[in-house]
Amino acid sequence: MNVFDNIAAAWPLVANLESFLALAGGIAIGVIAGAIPGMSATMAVALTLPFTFAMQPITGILLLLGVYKGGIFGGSIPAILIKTPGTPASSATVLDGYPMAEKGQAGKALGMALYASCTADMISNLSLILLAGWLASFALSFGPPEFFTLILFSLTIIAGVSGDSLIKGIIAAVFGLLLATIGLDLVYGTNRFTFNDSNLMGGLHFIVVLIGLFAIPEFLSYVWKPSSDREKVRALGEQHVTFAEYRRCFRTILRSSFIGVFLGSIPGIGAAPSAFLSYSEARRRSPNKKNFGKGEIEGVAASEAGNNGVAGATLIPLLALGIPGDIMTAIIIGAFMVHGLQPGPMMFVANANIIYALFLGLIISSVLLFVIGGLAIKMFRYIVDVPKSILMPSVLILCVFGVYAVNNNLFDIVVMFLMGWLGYFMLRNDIPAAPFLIAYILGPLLEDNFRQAMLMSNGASDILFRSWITWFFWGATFLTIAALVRTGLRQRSEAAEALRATASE
Amino acid sequence: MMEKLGRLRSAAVLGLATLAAGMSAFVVSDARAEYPERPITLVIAYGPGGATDISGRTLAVPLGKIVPQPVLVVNRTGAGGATGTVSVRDADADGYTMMISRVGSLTVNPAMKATLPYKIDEFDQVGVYEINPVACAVKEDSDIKSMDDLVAKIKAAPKTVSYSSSGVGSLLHIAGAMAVREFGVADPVADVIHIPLKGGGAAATAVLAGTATFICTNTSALASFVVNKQLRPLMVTTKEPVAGFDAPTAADLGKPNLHQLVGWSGIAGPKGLPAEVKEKWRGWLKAATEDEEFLKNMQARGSVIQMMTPEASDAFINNQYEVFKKLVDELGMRVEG
Amino acid sequence: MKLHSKDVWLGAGVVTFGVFLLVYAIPVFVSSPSNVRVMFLSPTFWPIIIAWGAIITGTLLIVSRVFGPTVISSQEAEVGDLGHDETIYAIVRVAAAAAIMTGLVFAIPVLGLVLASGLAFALISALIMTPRPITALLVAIILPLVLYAFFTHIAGMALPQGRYFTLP
Repeated sequence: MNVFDNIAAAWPLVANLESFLALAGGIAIGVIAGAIPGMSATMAVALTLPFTFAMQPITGILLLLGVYKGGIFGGSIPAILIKTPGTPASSATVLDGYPMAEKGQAGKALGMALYASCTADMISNLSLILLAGWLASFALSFGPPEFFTLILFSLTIIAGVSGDSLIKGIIAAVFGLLLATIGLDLVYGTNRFTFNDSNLMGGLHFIVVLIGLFAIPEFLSYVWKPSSDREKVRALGEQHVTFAEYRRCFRTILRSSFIGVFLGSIPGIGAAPSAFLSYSEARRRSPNKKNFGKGEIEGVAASEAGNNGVAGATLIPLLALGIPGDIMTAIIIGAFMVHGLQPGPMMFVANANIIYALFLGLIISSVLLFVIGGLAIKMFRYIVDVPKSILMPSVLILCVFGVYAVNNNLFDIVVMFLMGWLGYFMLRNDIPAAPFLIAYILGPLLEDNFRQAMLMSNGASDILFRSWITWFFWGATFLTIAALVRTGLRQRSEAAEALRATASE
Repeated sequence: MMEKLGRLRSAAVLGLATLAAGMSAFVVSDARAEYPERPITLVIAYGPGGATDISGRTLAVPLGKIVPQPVLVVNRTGAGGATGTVSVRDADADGYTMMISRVGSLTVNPAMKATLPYKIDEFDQVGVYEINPVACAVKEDSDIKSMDDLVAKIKAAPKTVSYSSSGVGSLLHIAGAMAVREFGVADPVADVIHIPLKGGGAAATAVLAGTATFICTNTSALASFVVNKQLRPLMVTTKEPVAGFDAPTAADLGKPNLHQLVGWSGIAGPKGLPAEVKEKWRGWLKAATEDEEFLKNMQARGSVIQMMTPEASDAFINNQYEVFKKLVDELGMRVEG
Repeated sequence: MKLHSKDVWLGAGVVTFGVFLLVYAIPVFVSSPSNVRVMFLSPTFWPIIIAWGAIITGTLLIVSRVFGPTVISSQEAEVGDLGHDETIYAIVRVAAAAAIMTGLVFAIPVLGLVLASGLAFALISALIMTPRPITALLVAIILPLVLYAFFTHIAGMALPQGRYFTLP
């Protein structure tokens, strides 16, 4: 059977009301769940899983995929409107989305988030369909040494999100790394900074840290100075995103989508680093570099394309190799197995109709995401109309509920508040929060992969140079750092020059 | 200004008093009512999407139909199951907080970790309902064709063969060491490298990517790789062969000790559950495990559904604990810090 | 100039913390088994690197602020900028917010998440002297109930109920 026969055979599996309803319903559930801080896309998928057992395999799997994709997009809504990322994947969206909302451009930011998400989603799906085999074998050549160098390189994005002071950014990152060491040691299972508390042994949950660091300081700032905008209602973002703006950001969206596809096809990295990497890359190449972090629409486009670019690509290792690369795909593999299907290369032979039905469904899902996401924006946009005196306490309560739901643990609320005070301290001292967060995500990956590599080699460090992939990332890391140092020195001498000029006047 | 503040405060307090009064209308306060009179929380000490989570949520579907009150499935993740397990131990033993007990959190962890904040006898078992056979596997293109090949390779070149696990204190961790030891490797801790990864999926992937040489884990985690001819099973630890796994059983190989090496899930609660609660739960669990849909879903994932009596469950769990503990002591695998 | 000295203090604090980690926190709170074969693999290896990172970056911050040219940093625009009296009120408000947050944590097991968060909402509204007391009160009642309904009945999660009554 060739591709067209396969598609013809698969068409009836997808082109029925049930499949469409599953996809549309899934996306709607996902958008709502994603928009609630504390409920991540994966949690929503896990909660939906039992309902799919009774469905046709393809309907059930499409439902789960819909929830996942909707969830990744839905997270951007609160990120833009209330500075609270709904899912970890949308934390980079906060950086420019929230300043845009403050400027009364919430409608624009949300619109761009939707356009970028759908474009990236489509690119991701097409990559899955066309390049799955190739990308999957590439992903399999990533062992701990390759991961280590890739993550080391990814840490250089800290420079892109540090704002005015790189040193302060690095300090924030150091503390993010430190916080991430809390918990049980990976290799020996011993306690690190746990004080024998069973809650601390599990480490601090990422979503909890994230919400505490972004949402609570905003609340505290408002408590510090409520009078200033007591009656100021942020102008409803009547402005829509224009086609010209979309075209201006198109290159960025394209680049970010491919970053997402690349990182998504490698199991174990996830959408949040991809969004940050896309953001930092977009900032580096943009003529409006200065405007990033202050409400640049291109920043929103980059981070949203970066995280949705991952969505389709996470299925690459799953379908091509049968590898559950992350929690999301692990759940989907469960859904396959319940129906007696074994994902992997054999499935392309044995159940090709299901694979192609899935492909068709994915493409339809991008379109449905556009429609349903558009409706969701229309509904949620009115949040900006809520006066701050009502909105801010509401955000606090929302975060308390959401964070409790992450792990059903009161302890997490305490952690969120403590992180909130830390975040407030950082805000008052111009220490950027984003590097802290990136280090918190990447730190454990860096350490774990380093130590796994050392275990493999019995402590010989030449394993970190074992393949061309490691050399590539070492090279990229050094080039990036060199460029940073050069820029830093130049800025410094220019500033000194300017100072001398003013002094001599 | 203060006046306004005061007025507001009293307004707020008044409003909240009304709110509280309104809500107390919902109070269910019939103390003599039969258990359960409110929803029951079922804690899963592992994250969404893992083997325990899927097992627990699949079980919650028939339980939802049988139990007269809602069963709320709750993930409380962290520290290899310790965070959630401790939270159940500390809950009231009234039957409203139960958990899915699991091989990792209830036998391997207590056997391995000296500083674990709970002990195995701090829980009342309702019953084990699921057994997961364990298989050891290598990459399909490996020159290792049998357990004997594997052991020969370890003996010929110590510290070159590695196995992957889903973390310190997981079933996979102890399984790799126990399997090769049964086949004659005297000191697996020194001679075989243990590479811990984050999660079972990552552990299987590590073998596929060549990061680790072999893996011993639940057959359900390996099934798709075996079907797709990516991994080759070397043995299964059960007495009976496992469908789809073309490999000898531990019984075939004459290693009956390895029959203890299986995964399992059960229902447990804090120590001191009332007899009535235990009785009710047993009935529910029995009915749930006989649910056809449940059986079909679980068996499709390679689980053996086997409802054990409380006594049999206790005996089974304690026996496995003793076997693991002995192994840990002999091999010096105990985690002290 | 004010910003400068603040940063120097910040740098000094970071360096002190790094030293504290090295000499006290890591040896005491990170347990390292005796049978560690390779130094790279010790559980203390990364924390030590991080501690050194703190010391080095803290020092760099001090050096760059003391000896470097006056880099025009972002103005203290969004925070601060209050008159003397207002600053005192603001400090009191933020301290009260801390008290409310702490109280909320302790109230949840007793009153339940719904009632505790409703109370917290009302107290915060009073604290910021909300210009919309009626709306605030309505939201304080409705928002926790709506969230409760969503998490319990749609997402199927168990929220803390408190000792006095149980919501359906």
